[in-house]
Amino acid sequence: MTTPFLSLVRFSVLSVYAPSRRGAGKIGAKATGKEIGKGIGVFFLILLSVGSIGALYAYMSEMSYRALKGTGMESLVLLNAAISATLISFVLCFLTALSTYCSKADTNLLALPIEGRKLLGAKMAMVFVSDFALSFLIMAIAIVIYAIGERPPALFYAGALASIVAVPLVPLALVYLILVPLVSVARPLRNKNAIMIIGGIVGIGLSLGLNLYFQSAMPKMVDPEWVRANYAGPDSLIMRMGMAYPPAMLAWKSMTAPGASGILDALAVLGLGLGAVLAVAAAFGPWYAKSLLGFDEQRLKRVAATRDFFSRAFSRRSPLASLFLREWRLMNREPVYFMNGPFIIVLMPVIMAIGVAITMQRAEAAGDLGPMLASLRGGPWLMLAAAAVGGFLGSSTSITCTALSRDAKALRYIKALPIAYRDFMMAKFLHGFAFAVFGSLVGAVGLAALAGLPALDAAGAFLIALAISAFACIAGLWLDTANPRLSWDNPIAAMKQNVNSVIVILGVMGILGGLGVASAFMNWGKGAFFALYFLGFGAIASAALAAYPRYAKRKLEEIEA
Amino acid sequence: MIRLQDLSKTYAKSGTKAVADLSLEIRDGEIFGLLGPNGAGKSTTIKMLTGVLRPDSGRVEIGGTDMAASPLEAKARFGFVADDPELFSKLRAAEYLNFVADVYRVPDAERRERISSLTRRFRIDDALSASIGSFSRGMKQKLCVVASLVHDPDAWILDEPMVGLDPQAAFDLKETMRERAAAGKLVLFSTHVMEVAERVCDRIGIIDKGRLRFVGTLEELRGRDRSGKGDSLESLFLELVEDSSQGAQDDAAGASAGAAPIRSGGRS
Repeated sequence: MTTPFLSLVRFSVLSVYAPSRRGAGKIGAKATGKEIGKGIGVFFLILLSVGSIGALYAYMSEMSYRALKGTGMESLVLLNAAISATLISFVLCFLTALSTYCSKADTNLLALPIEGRKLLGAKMAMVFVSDFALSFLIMAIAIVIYAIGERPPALFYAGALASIVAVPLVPLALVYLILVPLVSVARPLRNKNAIMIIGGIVGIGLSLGLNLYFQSAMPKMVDPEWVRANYAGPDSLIMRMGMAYPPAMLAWKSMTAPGASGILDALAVLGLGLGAVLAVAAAFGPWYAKSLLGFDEQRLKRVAATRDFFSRAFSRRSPLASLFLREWRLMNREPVYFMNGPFIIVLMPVIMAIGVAITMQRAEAAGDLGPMLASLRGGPWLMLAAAAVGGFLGSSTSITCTALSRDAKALRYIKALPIAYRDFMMAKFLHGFAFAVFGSLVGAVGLAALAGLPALDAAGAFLIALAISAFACIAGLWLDTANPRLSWDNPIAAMKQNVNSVIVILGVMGILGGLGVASAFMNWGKGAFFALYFLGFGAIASAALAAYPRYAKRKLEEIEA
Repeated sequence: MIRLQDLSKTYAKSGTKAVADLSLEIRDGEIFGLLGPNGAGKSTTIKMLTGVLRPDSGRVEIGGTDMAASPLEAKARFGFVADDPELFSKLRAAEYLNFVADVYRVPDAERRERISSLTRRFRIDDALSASIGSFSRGMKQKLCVVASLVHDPDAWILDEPMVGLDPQAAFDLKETMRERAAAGKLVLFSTHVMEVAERVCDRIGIIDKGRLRFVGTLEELRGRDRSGKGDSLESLFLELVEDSSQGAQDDAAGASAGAAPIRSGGRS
């Protein structure tokens, strides 16, 4: 028999990380070909994301190891890894803990005879899973690089193992040490929307910060002097951080101190991590359980409806306009939809701008920027680059890729209304396309302005971007109609766990990349490229848009809502 | 009038035969209750009737309009209250009602007048500017009821409408049903609560395992009291359902003693 606590841990972990088949009550059922395909796709996507972060970190660790090797302080890569893993663990842990602070299942658990410390302990165990995975990735890379170069004794690996487990424990305890009192005291935080918005902003900050860090640190890693100044010596940044944060220092010593001293350090870092988690769970558990009471309660605003209110609120629109407005409101008012959809158009240019600004800064410092832009301005390449950026940005909201999935709960009702399926789906297309126009404008015209392109070229880039975006919008809508995600309990699943968005974004990236390479071999002028891409994408999008309503009608009729 | 003719439906995903050869006629001016235990086929029947599900075979006619041939016209003739009021929680109540009124193309003056009177009747007139997400389940149910009547339809179809309603709202709903029937409009609702059917319905249909087991007035159902002890409607209902279960088992065993549908046509 499993103890109630272990059962609770299992429940917590599965409810967040288990694949949807479990949630859909299909345990034990054989996976279909489609599900296997999705699983493989998701696996490769995770591999791609983890691999790219891992590769960047591996490069930086390798470069710093080489630079430090000369000074005999190569083991500092391990201290750097412990500090990096702690920092990234803290942010990831904060995001995961915030977004999973209270689910519907948690409030149901309150009716069971479970102590608060066990509820919080199970929640911490669930958060630790993702936290540990990230910490493992960062620590293991540095450990492997160090181990290959130094061939350390067996005890090193025991210390490394203890460190990998212990490093994310302290941030985990710290996060709940902050979150539980914060959520308990701050009433507005006991609301899923507020949590989603805060989590989104912190997440965006993290991705921007990481982007900025990698972009600015990568070129400096080739300079051994810079590496030594930041890593080695008592006044270096890494050493100061290590001194200020004893668990990282203990983790480092557990891997580098000889014999018994190393073992004691390993036990100390493990004890510190576990102790911190247990202490927080025990001390804050009852408080945590209390903070779940009345979580996400919404206050009903009662206001007497006046004649003026009726005149303003109830006026006739065409069904298509009304459907469009419904799409607009439902998406923009659901934080998870907004942050992962329309908001991308704001976020992506900022990320792109950081990359472009750093590249331009580097080129300017090297004195290359002016001549490079001047040589490109005459040809079609800057116009095509602006069109590609605009097209990518216009396609990146994924609004149409999840349009039908997001409406899964309402389909039964919608189908009983006298709504033409053509209008229903066209409203979804127009909603996605409205943001695509904005994205294309920001991307194409923004880059054109940065590069000082003439107005005609900027207009050409914008039109090509618009055609690409229209193509992506209809492709996404078609895909979500063919393969909608109709079974979900949490709106997050309709959007973030929807493979259709990934297919379209990767597809657009692949097409743009392929066309970019192909264009490099074509000795064409601006006009010819414009005609090819604007008319090409435009014609495909128009043909798909013309054929789509019939297909959508058939599919919607088939759906057993 | 609503006419269902030989409706059958087997779900493609599960392979479950939910409704088999169901024929039924509901006349204008009557309140018809569709009763049955959980999983009997009530919701599937209503889904086919409202155009949400396409039947494998058979025909649905609403006010003389064939659902398969002219779905938009047929759907415009009824108002529908789904069993799950969890809809569009991010919209405000007024936005939702205006959206429904747009879909039914209700002129401005009419929609304002109807929404005003219906929301007052169901006591949600002071919550029109609030987000639906802040409503209780009962309030959401009332909002769906108001939305379903915004175009003053000839037929009113409700799937388990009493669930979540407080006694006052349930009373108001039953009164509205009676008023609509008195005005010559048709009301069809599903329920598994016999008491509700007993108090409101002119005729009832009992459905079990996808087949219609009884259609008629409550008096006609009482007339089937084999024990002669004046059993409650609930007992008669359970007796009918058990009979059909026995029939299904006998069918499965190769016997040919399945309960035949009983039809009556009178009105109380």
